[in-house]
Amino acid sequence: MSKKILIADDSMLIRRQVTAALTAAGYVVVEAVDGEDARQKLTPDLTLIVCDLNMPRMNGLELLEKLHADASMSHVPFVMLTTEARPGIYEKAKMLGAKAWLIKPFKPDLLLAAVDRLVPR
Amino acid sequence: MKVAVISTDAILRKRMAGAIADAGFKTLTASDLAGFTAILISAAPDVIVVDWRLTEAVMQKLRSAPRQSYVIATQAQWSAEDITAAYARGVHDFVKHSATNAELIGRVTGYRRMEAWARATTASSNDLTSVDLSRIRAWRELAAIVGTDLGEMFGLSFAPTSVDSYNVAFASKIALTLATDRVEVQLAIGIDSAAAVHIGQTLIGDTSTEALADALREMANTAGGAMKRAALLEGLTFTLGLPENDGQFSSHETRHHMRTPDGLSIVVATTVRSIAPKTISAEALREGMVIARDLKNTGGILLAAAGTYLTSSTAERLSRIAGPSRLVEISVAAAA
Repeated sequence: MSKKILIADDSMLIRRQVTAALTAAGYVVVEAVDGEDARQKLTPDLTLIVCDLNMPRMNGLELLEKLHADASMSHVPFVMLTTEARPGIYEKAKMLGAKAWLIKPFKPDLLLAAVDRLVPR
Repeated sequence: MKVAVISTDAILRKRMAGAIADAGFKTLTASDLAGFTAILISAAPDVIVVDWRLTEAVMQKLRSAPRQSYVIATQAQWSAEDITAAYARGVHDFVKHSATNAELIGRVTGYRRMEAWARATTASSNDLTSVDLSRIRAWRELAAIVGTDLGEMFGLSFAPTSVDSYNVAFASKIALTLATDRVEVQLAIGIDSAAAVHIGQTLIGDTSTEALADALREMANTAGGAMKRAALLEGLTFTLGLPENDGQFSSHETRHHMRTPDGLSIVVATTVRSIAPKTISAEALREGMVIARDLKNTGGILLAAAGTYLTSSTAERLSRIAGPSRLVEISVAAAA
């Protein structure tokens, strides 16, 4: 069965870029337009979440906090994909369980390498 | 203008020096570091074209030189990693061995454009005493960023061109704020209609105006993030604002034009200006604003450091903690 990944980003361009890279590698991708939309699309069969940091309604850190507090979802690997690189935010995300921090502009093959490394076999 | 060409490759050295001399510049050559040192002492070149492998040693020599030179590194191929490393070393520009004479001369004369840019910036921002803005080398830095990182991300291969005219169909801008020094760099990215259609069709599957405007905003956001990291290498910590559509694209001070081999066009533009801080009540804080001066509570505990970019939740939290009547000094980012 194909593995399902959630991409949360308020930019359609980024969602399409990520979706194209991951579907070409055989993943099923669900798109969310912000953190709140992503929260509503959390399902037990998700294998990984790729998430922007700055988004309307609910940002990436707030979504990560909710996942961290949810025992049924806290095991899902979380990849932050953002232009931000401030150490304070990076450390907070790490503390909340983020497994990778990718900086935009990203190379699709690097994203794929990070995802392949984190998705459970 | 004096130009030094430093290369261990005699054929390359002769070809580049010949092209530069033919363009009317006084040219000096050296094949090694000792030769370069002699040139540095005797001639103080304005521009140095140097083999990538020799740049580290050359930059070290230049650091102790009384007068700074504009440095162009050269090698057969440039990867994104090499370009980043070159800027980190303090190199101003880069060129491939295979560059045409016209491109080489164009890059050598970049020194004059840089001088003009620095003069214009200084003249229009005479209160910016604590930051040497020329250090961020915005126009050339951004050209490299868009031409490599953005191109790789979106599967497009942009290369700088010397085209002067352009017809921008969509443009977005983003502000990078150095709140502590009251400086704002406004970065804008514009594309022509052919590039807009290409991006719409191939990258997002939607050519509506709304989708293209969204795509451009994200490209501006991405380029802004990349520029912020480039500035960090220079010790400057910028805060990124929110991207927005740019109706005043033509008013930017410096523009750099790039094309793909298929003729798609993209223009990167920048404006550097001083920003006046504002004092507002804490209850008026909102997303997109940047704290200009450390905000502390009555007990002296830091609530938000200068340079903090406010998201909607941090603005709400600060407003609550500081109290609505508390005055806060902010620099307003473009989106605010």
